[in-house]
Amino acid sequence: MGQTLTEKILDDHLVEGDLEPGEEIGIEIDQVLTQDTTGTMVWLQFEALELDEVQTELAAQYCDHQTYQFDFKNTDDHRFLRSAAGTYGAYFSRPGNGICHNVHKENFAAPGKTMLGSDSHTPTPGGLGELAIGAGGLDVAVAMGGGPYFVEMPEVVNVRLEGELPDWASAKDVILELLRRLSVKGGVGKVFEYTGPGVESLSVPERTTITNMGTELGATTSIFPTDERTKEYLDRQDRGEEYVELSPDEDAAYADEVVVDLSELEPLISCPSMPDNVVPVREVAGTDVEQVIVGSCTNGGYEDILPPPRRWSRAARFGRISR
Amino acid sequence: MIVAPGSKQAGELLAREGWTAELMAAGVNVSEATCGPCIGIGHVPASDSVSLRTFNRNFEGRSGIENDSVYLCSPQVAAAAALKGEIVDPRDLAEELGDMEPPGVELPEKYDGSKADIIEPDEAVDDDLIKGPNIGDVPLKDPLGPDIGGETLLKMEDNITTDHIIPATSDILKYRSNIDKLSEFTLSRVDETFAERAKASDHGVLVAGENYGQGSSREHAAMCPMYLGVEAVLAQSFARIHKANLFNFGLLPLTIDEATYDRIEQGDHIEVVDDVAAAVENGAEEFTIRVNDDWEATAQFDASEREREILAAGGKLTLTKQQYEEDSGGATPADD
Repeated sequence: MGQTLTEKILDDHLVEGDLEPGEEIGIEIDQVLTQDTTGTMVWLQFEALELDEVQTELAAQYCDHQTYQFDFKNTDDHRFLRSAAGTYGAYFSRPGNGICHNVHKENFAAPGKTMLGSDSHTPTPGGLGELAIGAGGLDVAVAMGGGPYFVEMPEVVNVRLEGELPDWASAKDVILELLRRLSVKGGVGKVFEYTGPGVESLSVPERTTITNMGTELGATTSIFPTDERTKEYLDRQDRGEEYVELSPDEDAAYADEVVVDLSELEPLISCPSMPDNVVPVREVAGTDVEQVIVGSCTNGGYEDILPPPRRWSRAARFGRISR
Repeated sequence: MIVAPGSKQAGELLAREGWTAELMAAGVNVSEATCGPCIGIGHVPASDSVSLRTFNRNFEGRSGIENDSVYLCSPQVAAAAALKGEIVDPRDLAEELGDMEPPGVELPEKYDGSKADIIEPDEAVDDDLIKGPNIGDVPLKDPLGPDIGGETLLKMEDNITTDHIIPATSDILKYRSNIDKLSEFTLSRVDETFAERAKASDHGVLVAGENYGQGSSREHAAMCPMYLGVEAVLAQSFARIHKANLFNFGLLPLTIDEATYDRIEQGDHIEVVDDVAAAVENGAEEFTIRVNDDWEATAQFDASEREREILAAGGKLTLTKQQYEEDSGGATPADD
């Protein structure tokens, strides 16, 4: 029996246990991500454990939640985090440099690596074939000290993508469609592994929109195989040498399969106040809107922001924005 | 309309190519790269208003105002709504305006943003920890004893998020390094009196429905209840990261069925009948709970060997330190 991509990466990093769903496994962690609202406790616990130096290949401390620094307490936290990164040997990303998941994707995310992060949207680099899992700060501190990370071996679900997205539908609609079908509890204890002919139609930034929001399904993580599109992205980030080709075995056995025909998707929207409360946009058309924000770790990329100013007519750009 | 680039690299590229100017000229507010509005820091929606965002979460109150009305969608749908002033399918708007082309996805030729804001480990500017007055200590718990129980301090419904347990709005977020202060806000979004009652009662339990603790990874959602004296959480099911965090901070997670959940009322006295420390160590997978000294029910306990050890030690920090000491024969951990 062949292996899923998830099993291959876990097997490469396995320190304890067997890859049986429901069994606890211990895995070696290559990369660690922390941010400013969970990071202070991570480093305070690293200090309390009397550890001297980061033992993982890479650790990165980001400052993204409290960038406005409207209280000295935020600025003190950032100064403390900078001092902890310097003291123990982590990369430090200054406040304002960006959201941890975006900056990590741009600079460090690499196929085949494992990552643990003290933020629930840590799975974002799954779009580049990295197996990234969100965890509590103490688990992150212990992993940074060289200890394995223990997690219940998840079930691996095959999300088979077919066809190509039609005009005006987007990667966001892929994950909203999954939320509509499976709910915010649908992914608990599961890894969503994307396969099928539709994968190659999605660029890395689109894939990371999907893996980022796999968190809302309750999934342990989400992952894509790597291909020319992954290489294209890494090349353009000047990190082409980090490309590794990764895919599941052809006879890999999955616990479950979900098929999404991309060509059938239409613009979807999640209504208040749960991410799985999803309907077609047309069902709520006409609802008055007072505020519109484009951004975040899900859809805050260059590729997300570019379309409005680039594609719309001059009339649309100048004077037509009403909210 | 507000545009908040996810990273400075994205913001810098858009600025270099002139798109930021186009956005600004069209009436868009361009923000610095931040999580900000996604967690209620900045751009809080007006009362009784709809906000359309390209984010990933719209949990009630997360935007910074109770009873908010936040919709999540793609940038295409968001931009269409910004033009129209109401929610509109971009396909319909394109037809109406006649001059909107489908956007497609374009990657830049080169992501050539500056790396000036990333300090590499060997370029560190500090080699000592710098702590301000708001940065406190890590709270610790005693090893697990035989008796667990107390008042049902709060009975909660399904899908309680970590935003309910420890809100992440700006007035509260700044205390993340100060557990003594932060714990005052524990579950305040569900019941403002909770923290005070929990502290006064000294020990107690929480009861919840399905999927307790979904949402963020914040361990404060386990640490603060522990600090206030909560000893166990009885829920119909738990979210993965939160359950791990409960173990890490020495709280007993017990799974109850719907009938038991329905029967328990806030204020009920719940005690675990078994000798908890012994049962956890002996691999027990069921506990008997006794409610108001009146009726009993069975609660499931699903934990690995390792999680049992963590719980017994009073939390993962204590256990890990003990393990380091054993590994190095009682001395401080090795430098390698």
